[in-house]
Amino acid sequence: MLERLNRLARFWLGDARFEARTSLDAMLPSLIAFAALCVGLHTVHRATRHLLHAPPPRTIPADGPGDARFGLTLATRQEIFREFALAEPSQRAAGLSSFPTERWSAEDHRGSFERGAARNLATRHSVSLTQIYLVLDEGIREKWPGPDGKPLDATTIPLKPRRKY
Amino acid sequence: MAALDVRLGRTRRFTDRLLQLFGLRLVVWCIAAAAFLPGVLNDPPHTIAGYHDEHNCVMHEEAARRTIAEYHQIPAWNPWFCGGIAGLANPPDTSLAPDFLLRVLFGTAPGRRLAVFFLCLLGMEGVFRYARRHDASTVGSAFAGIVFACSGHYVTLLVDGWVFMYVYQLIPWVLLSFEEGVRRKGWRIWGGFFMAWIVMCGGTYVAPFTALALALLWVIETGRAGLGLDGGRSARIWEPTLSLMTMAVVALGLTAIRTLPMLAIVLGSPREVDQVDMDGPFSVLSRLFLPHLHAGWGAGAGEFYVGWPTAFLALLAVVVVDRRAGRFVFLSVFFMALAAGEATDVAPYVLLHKLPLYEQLRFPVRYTVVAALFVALAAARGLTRIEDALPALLARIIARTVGNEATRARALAATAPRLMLGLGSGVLALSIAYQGAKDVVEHNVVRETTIYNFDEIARWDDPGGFRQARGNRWDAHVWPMGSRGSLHCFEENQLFESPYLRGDLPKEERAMDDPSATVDRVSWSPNEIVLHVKSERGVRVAINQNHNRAWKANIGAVVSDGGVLSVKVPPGDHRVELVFSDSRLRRGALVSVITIMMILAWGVPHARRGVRARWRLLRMIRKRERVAVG
Repeated sequence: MLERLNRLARFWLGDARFEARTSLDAMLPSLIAFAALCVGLHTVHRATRHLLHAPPPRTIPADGPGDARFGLTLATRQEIFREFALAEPSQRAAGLSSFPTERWSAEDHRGSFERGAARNLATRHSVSLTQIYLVLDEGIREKWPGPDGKPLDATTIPLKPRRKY
Repeated sequence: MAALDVRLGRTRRFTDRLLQLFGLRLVVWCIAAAAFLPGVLNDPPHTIAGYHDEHNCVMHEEAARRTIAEYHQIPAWNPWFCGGIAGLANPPDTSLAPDFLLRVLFGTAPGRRLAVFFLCLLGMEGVFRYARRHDASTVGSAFAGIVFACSGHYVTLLVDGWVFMYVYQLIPWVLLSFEEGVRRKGWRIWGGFFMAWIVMCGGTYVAPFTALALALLWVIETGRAGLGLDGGRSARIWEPTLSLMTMAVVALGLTAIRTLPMLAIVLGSPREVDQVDMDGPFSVLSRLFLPHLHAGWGAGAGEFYVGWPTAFLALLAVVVVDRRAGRFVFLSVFFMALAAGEATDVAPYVLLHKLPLYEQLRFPVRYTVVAALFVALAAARGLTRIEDALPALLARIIARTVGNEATRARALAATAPRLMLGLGSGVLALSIAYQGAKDVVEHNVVRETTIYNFDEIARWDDPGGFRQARGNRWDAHVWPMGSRGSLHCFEENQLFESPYLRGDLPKEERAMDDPSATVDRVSWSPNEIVLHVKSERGVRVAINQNHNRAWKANIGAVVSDGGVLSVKVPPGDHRVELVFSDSRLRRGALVSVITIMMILAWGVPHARRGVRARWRLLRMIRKRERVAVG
């Protein structure tokens, strides 16, 4: 018994005097390692199962019924677009006043204000940002009139990052 | 995994056996990571963070995921942003990094979170193995692993959406591979693989930081070899260079598919940086060791907290003049000095900023994350010294009190006292490590709904297919999910964008100079557009995307019309196939494939030899058993 305990202690301490005498001795570390690996992998799976088995992202409804698109009626979509269009002139002016000589930066700044408006609209209508931006895109594409009766500009200023942020 | 076995530290300790089992370590890493990242693991899987860089990264990754998973193409071209830009060649691209597979398999948002979790585990294991190489105890090594992998900067990376920078967690693997590679060839290959992973993962910052740490370690190892500091076991003076060069060759070979096309952007449109970044040395120390309110919930952007117990343990290693901690202390001080930025005109950062590549980097404070790694490693040595103190005391007492040499040797080798003292010192070290790691994890914890609380991504498939929209780069994630490209965009490098692209076209492909011509889309994918073009006198077809020289057509000539991708199609009824085919990417892919084949040709027989050796040993023992029974 004492000898067995001593051998166990030597094995545990990685003592050079521990020598594998039987095939069980030789395989024991591998068996223990395999069992430990199984436990480890099980723990990993438990921790990540929520992500591993995640359903696909939510799908925005297809067109219809009636004039509905993106899960919103035409009236709601036009109301959302009107708010975007109403805010755009002041957003452009704010962008230009912050970056009077840098056209891309001014446009980028306008975009940041537009983002704020999109977030507010998404919260107010309890819909996703994707739906809100798709409505904005529809309004621009279909040339719905802005506050001045003209459609919103469908172009943007080409990318020109600043040297400093 | 045979090649991944790290040489055991020379000192045997009671706690060695327990954490030497990879599976049990995995359990410990999992518990620590789950305690650190509950928000990552448990928040709704498709919810993203609010910062616009997160949206930008999700957009890039979703574009690449769709290209791979839905169109079965290499993501060489990204039509969803800026009117079409390089995909794989764009520096922030991550689509060929090994962890990107998680996005392909489980979706972009869940895949990003899984990558965070697994890289966190890898970071812990990497630091553990690296610390063990320097004879830190398993408890000290595990402590260092948890402290580094759960340090504050990783929370900032989540808040900002910079998951691609989580490959900071691979730095210890690269350093370990280099040091082990001085003697063992297999490790050089692993080092090249980890370096390649970093480069593939949009390694704008991480790769140069790692290269710098490697260069310093190369100086240290070459110096040690040259001076023969390890006595008879010293490496030959050229071996560290060989290790480094092999790693570099493997990394360059594996990443050629990305780096060859990327060079055109990095050299042709460099990131232009014109800002002064400075910080005080005390701020760097404060970020590392003092708890602040975290960026994730309001204040103190740029946190790197590794905890004051870590500072205390690292300091202890300095006080007791621990030689093995020497390199870690030196490297941590060096990287802290870099993190101070342009504090003075002769600051290390000022000099480093003059070098190619490094001149394109901003925010020197990010060097603190490498400093955090070396502080954690020094702390591992400090904790080891505490753990070793009791057995060393016993040895000293025996040496002083037992006169007879044989009795003294027997007393020193006695198993029971060694076990008792090992148990005592192990429990002491374990309690210190637990409290220190708990402090770091509890301070930096990513609580549920604190980061992933912004927008749940939703998908809409346009029956008409892909179209460009005016877009908005601040919420870039919505566009690929809504079958739209965003013309409004931001990239760090000055990438070309035509001013003539529009977000209101009824058809994305149209005839420009022949009103009677018809253009119909047959099929659309990011890298291949097939059109049916009918024209009596020839027509120029404009595609509402940026021109790039890599676009080729099977009929007519691809031209740039004010930067808009156009094809001059001859008269007649044609099926026009436009394909994005980058010759640099093809050449790079060839180099990468050859490198992989060479690694396999070398590695497979090597691994087989290892397995055979183990079988031989087992057979030998069985034979001996049979003889004994007989």
